[in-house]
Amino acid sequence: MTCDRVQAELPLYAEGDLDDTATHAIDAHLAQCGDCQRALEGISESQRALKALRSVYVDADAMQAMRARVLERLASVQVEAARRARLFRRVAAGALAAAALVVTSSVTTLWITTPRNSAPLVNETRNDGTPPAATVDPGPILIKWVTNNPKVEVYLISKAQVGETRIG
Amino acid sequence: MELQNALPCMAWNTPEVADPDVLKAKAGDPEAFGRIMKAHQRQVYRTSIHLLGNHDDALDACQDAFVRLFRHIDRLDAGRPIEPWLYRITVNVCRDLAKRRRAYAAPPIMPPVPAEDGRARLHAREQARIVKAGLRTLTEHERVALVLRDIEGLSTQEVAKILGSKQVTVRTQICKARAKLRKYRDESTGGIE
Repeated sequence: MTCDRVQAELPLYAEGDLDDTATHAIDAHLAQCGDCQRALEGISESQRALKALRSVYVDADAMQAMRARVLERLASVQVEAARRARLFRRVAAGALAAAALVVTSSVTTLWITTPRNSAPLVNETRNDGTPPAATVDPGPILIKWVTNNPKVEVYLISKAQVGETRIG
Repeated sequence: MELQNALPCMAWNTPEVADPDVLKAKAGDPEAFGRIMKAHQRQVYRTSIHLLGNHDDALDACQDAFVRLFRHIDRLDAGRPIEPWLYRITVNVCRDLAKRRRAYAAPPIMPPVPAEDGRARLHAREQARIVKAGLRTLTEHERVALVLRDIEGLSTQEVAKILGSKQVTVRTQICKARAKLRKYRDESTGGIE
């Protein structure tokens, strides 16, 4: 390995972050290269100074005050969340009522029109044995749905179904 | 002042039972959340101060990180360790704070000492000042990777997982960061201890 290559890997080598093959190769180079040994010492010294920062002085009173501020903020967060939940419920209820009002007001009139001469819905066998009168087709049922928009009229046309029941 | 000498968590074991304080905090218990804060404040403060570089910003970061933790605690699995999640939150909070305050773009805390003045042996406090200043010369990604790996003592794999990066990317960032730090330190001391 060249010195440039070794020195590029030294930051990882110094902390054991290389695999065995790379580590052995650098070991072998360092055994016979003073420049790279000095470079390694520099990195090791820098790393020791860096790791010394693990010991941090903390003001216990400042930490306690920090925790108190967090709890205050959390209380206000919870109050705000509850307020939003109430507001949401009110808005949802209002929206529901408004929707119901719109539906109610939009259906201003509903007519169900059926033919006047519709036949009885039940065919009966007469007691004298005469056949029942011919069933008259009642015709379609027409439903006119008038909305609050005068240009919109909805018609529903349905074919009436006549049930047939025999008695006796 | 209390000295935070406890070594950082090197590996997180999944607890066999769910953390009762996490369960209570999920239900909105402020006392339980207070205990969680007390248990993890060192981790959050230590990470924040090395990412942001000063005590006041680190305290603000602690506050924001714990508020953010509480807001999203319903997503936390009480049966899993809280530390990785808290590291991720802390890093994100520090990034946000730094963007707001342009802390990452700030000049180094301490200019390098000219070589001829660095011949006397520097004691530990001076070394720490130099290293802290050196941290400020790194890019944001390099600094975060280095702080988590070498100061917090996490593995490269853990750092990659916290940052949502590939391990090879984190290794490269750490390698560059260590080399830059060593160079900065050499320039500050004239290469003489």
